[in-house]
Amino acid sequence: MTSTKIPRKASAGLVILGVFFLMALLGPLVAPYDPSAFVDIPLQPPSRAHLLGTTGQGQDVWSQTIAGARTSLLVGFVAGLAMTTIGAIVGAIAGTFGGLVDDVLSLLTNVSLVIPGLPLAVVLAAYLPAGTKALLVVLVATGWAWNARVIRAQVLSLRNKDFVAAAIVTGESRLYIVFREILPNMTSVLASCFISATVYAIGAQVGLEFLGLGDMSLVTWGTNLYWASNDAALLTGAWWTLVPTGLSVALVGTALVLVSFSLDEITNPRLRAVSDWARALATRGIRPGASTPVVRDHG
Amino acid sequence: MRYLLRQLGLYVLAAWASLTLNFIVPRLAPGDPASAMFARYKGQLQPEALAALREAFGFTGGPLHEQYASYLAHLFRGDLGVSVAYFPAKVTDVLGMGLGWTALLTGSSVVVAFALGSLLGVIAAWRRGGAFDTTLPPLLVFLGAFPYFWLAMMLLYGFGFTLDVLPLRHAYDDTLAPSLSFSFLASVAEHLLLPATSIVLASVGGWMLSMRSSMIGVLAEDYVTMAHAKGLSPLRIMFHYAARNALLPNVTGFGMALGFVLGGSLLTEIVFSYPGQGYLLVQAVRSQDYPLMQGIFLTITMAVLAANFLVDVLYVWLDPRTRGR
Amino acid sequence: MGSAPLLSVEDLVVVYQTPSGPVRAVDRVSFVLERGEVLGLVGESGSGKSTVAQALARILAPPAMITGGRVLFEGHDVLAMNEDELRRFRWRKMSFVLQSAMNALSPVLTIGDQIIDVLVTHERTSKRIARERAAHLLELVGIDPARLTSHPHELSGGMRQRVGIALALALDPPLVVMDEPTTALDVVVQHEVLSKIAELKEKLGLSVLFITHDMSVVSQFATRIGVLYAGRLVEMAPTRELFRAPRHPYTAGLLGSFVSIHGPRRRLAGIPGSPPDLRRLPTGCAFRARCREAAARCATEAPALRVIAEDHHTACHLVSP
Repeated sequence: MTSTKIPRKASAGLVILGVFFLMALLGPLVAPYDPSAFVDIPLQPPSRAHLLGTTGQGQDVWSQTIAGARTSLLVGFVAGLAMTTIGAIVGAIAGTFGGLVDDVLSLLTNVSLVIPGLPLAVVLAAYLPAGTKALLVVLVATGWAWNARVIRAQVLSLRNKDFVAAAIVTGESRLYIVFREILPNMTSVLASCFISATVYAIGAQVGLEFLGLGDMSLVTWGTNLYWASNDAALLTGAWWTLVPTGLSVALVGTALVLVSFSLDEITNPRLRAVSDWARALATRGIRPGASTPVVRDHG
Repeated sequence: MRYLLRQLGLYVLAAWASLTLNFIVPRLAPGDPASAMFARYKGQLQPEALAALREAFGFTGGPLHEQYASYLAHLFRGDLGVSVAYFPAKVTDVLGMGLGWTALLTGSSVVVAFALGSLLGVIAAWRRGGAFDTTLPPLLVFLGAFPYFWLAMMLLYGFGFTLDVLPLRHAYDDTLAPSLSFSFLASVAEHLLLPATSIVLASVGGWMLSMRSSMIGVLAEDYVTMAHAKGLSPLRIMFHYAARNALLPNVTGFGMALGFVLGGSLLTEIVFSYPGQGYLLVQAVRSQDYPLMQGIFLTITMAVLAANFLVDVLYVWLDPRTRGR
Repeated sequence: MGSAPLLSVEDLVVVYQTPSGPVRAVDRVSFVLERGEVLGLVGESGSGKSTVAQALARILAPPAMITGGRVLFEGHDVLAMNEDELRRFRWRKMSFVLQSAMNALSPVLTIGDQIIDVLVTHERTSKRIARERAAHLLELVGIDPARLTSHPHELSGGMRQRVGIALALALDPPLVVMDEPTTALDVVVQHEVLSKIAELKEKLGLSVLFITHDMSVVSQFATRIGVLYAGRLVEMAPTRELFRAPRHPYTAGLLGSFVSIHGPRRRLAGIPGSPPDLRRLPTGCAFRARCREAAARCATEAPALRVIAEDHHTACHLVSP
């Protein structure tokens, strides 16, 4: 077997994700303070006692960031998984069955795609009892359709492949084909759907909580930002109550996207070939121009 | 024109779906949010006014289909009830205050982000593997991974608060009265700059990446090879032949992404106390103003559907192949 | 300069970067094309025939690079030209008719736009004059000039391909490269387009490099034929000679009959096996796995192209002059 090295982008992404997972997992062991407790004078800048300072409520920001990772990542990944599952089921059934089933499911998907997510999420979240379960329902309800669309398109292109055609000819049941022949053959698409769904879920969760929807007594990245903004962090110059959480959200999001880039390169080798090509030219001091380059030293 | 009709059908259906969701959600919710909602008006509204409000939301006590009919009838008369947060103003009047500002902020920043992102994507794909292509996408992905409102807060802190060069809040200077004068328009532009910039920063990366990948696909097409063979200038090949075609899938994606960007832009409004729908939304959430929330949901959905249809018209203009069908 | 051939290709090598490393798609290909001549280049898909064609004008897209050889057009080396020289050389000296009529024209521009921009770019004529010339070009290939404002999807496949030919003639170039110009068309339309090409070639005295996988198509035009296999030229001869006495087993297979060196002719339907994977070319002769006559020497030593009769070149160990 030829050794397939993990692309640089993917390893960077996986390392960042690993750090945050550890943080979430070991949270209470690493955190110096109880994240919701009043531990010191409010709004102190970072110091030796409080690495990232204290909030307007006198809580330790570092402890809050760690505790936030646990809830936010959990909700993000569970919602991402649920969205991918629903998207895969709807998309695969629509793509495999075709006809009226496809028409109805595609219409449902498209309708739910064009209805703007956040305002709907607000209405849903306002009526549902505040809590993590309701938040999950809201995130999945507003975010499943994109995956269904992507997966349906992929299934349509797979349907013409030999092994699927063979299964159809041999009279396998449609559902058997969906779950045994089609879905297992699109793991990379499912993985990138899962990644984009998780990125969406983390972002939307932070946004909803920032609006004050959800359980404000929990410590999550969203509630951290909500309270920071409520305590007028900006007007008092307390940037340290905002930066760690915002940076965490962005780092996790970027790490996920980097992993998905690499998946893209693996499934679409042409992309990687072109980067190799550009690098090969660069080592010879040739800038890629509009015309096919002439490289003389090559054997 | 079949294409436009089909899309129009989709939007009508989506509009109906959102109206109906708006009707169903309060009824599905556990507990009795409706009673809680009406309880908030007790002592503020005359019994007759309260009865009218109940009717507007279809809480008539009759069977469900009658409730639905009553709800729809009021909706089509433009009756969305009375706001709690802005009592005793009607929800429609409250919404009217914010709609223009949201349209201005979201509209201008989405258009700028789309144009800029597409341009950057074209350049990155043209020089793929080059320095520009290897550094800018990860950087913009990183920027785009921040919550919109977080970037807004940082810009506000940096330029508005610390440097004090740009206004911190509102859509125009409080001392000015809205008019078509130069000083008023200049003030509007000045107030628009920071919130719009944060939306552009957060969303430009997405447009760049999708344009880049669409462009890479198009660059492998025969008509681009032909354009090279024809000895045309690189700029002409890049824009007239490649980008014109690569733009098409991005325009389709524009409609879909609009709703998403709008969510971020509503949150950005809150940071800047920009008097649009987002600002109203947070007021509605804080005072549990259900009629206002639902009103915002409906108006924004209708606006997004209308914008989607405009994009479809644009698409037909850009792609001659859709015209015949 | 008058004595130099129109086009002379010497040891051209083209490499594609692939995920599993660089691959030689064209390996030391040499040929000469004289003025007024129609040279056919024949091979299966993946043989490198289109790559050769596009390398001549250096319009191969990434991840391709030319790593060796010379392409002399009227004595000037195309591989040594800078971007400006290349832009002036393209279309004015060498134009293209590409395989898929559907994709060779941009779907969002009118065909008028796509003809006019060549004229405006190279001849700096006004739009009005360019439009008149474009109308004239369409008439030349038998299309109503009113079609200038049509988009490609509004034309039939055959019409699009004739538009492609009109476009190729726009600057009256000495050489037109036709890369599978009739492949995507049905038989009747194919015939119609081919006779148009034949007619115009006579009328305008063009030189043509005609690339195809179809021996029967090329036999109608070409004065000489080169056969490509796995990026290498395996046989080259005047058309008649090639059809009468193909010497390379692959050429013979393409012609539908196999000439045994030891025995009498026998019919053979096509060639067994499939073209080799360029990433893992066998040692020696690239064709040996499909060759019924392969000898021990074929596995160790790659055969070089050599002269076996007057103007007849073959790269095969089994052939003796």
